[in-house]
Amino acid sequence: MYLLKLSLRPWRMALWSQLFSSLAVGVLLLLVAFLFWMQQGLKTLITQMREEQVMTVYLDPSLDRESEEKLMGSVQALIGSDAPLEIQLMSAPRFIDRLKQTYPDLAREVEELSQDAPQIIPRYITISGILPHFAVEKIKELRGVESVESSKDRYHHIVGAFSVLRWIARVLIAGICFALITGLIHLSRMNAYLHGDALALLKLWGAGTQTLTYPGMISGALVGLIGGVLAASGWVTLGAWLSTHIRSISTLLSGMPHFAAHLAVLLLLLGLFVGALAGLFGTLFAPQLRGEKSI
Amino acid sequence: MVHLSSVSKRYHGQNRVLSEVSFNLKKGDFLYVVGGSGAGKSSLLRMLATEEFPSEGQFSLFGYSLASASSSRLRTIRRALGYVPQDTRLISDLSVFDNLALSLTLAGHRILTAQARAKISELLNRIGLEHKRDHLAMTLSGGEAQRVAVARALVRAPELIIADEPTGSQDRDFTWSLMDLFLKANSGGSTVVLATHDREIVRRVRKRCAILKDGHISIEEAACIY
Repeated sequence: MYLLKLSLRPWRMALWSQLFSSLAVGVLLLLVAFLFWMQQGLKTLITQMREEQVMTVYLDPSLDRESEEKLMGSVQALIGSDAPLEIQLMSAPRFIDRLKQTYPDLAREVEELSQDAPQIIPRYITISGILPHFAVEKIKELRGVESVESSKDRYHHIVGAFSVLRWIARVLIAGICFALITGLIHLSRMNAYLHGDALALLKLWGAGTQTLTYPGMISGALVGLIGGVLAASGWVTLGAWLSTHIRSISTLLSGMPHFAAHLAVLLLLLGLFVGALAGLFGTLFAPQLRGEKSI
Repeated sequence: MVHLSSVSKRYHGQNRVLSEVSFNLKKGDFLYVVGGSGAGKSSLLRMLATEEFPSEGQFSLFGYSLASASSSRLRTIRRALGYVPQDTRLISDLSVFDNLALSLTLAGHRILTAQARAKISELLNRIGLEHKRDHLAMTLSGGEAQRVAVARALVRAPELIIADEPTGSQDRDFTWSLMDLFLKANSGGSTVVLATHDREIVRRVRKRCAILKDGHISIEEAACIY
């Protein structure tokens, strides 16, 4: 109880410093939350763009019609039957039927030509969905496959740009956390000066390091907690709007995750933890605690 | 209990404030430390209170050399001390009661029992400050703060009491009240080291006496005349 009273001393003696520090902690934590959400969202988008593709497997013209279904089965087995896929065999009769719906004359001509040269009607298998990265290469190796085309390469540049953005977000998160902890440690050191006389006296009365760090830790935790509450409130207020807004900017970004309310609780706990940690280190490095034999 | 052998103290390479000081104290001893201003009384008492350490010589408390004592040993030693610094050093934003209670808590009474509370109240009564138990220390006068500082040291029932001019700001009545508390603690087994300028105290309460002059000490085993 006495230590709690002592820990409130900076709030009595330097109220504005504590309040502005709490506000700064809140703003920085909110930025961390936004960057974290962004980099997690980009990760989802990158995964989608990397794995979700449309693949066209062209069949070898020499492949007889009876072997088409067999090849289709081989492709399915190779990709894995559990994958969420759309797979379709475009056989010669189906191709002509589809062509007839839009270009009946052309379909008739192609049909007549195919009497002499059946290879002019393309036969292919279309596969869309999340495919394993080795799919293209493995399918190419199948007997009866002429060539394989994939949409994978279409997103190559965007995936690169998003990956860079993710790295930038991570570096910013690390930088902000470093600035946050450094700032809080400096605040705690300043607070330790305000506690200085009491710490020296407690030490002289036989208080252990643990006891001596309590006022600084509680004081730091309080700054962190208030910052965490501010950040959590900011996230609850702005988070939903922000995620909706970003998702509506383009269809590509519509895959970004929805507003995550649980981040608010994490922000609060993070504020508390970072504040207490900085308070602990700030006090441990304070001159009053340096060396047992100096008071 | 207290052993000093050829102890000297100098600050930042300056001249010695204490020079070749040697004496021993047993459990239950009472020692006045007298001398003029700048004689080294406060330096000696700060050293006894483990607030400072000798520049030279050997110094041990409760049989442990301070030079080689581990941190935990040093904390144990400090918990057995009751120190009244000249500048009182109360924790200004705690109440009078809390200052005493915190001192008691750090001496090992983790939970403040009714008995401990009664002890604090009794001490506050003895120093005439029971009515100010809930006042913040910063609101006390110099004399009142000095009395609280004495009570704060005595409440932990220390084995060694070190008091630096504890009656300097008191009127005659409170001077003798405080002296009565020190003598009572001494008769209860505590060792007392008391620095004073007050010749009347030294004359009326006859005890062993250390006279400091220019950092040099001389011990008067019987009556102390200075």
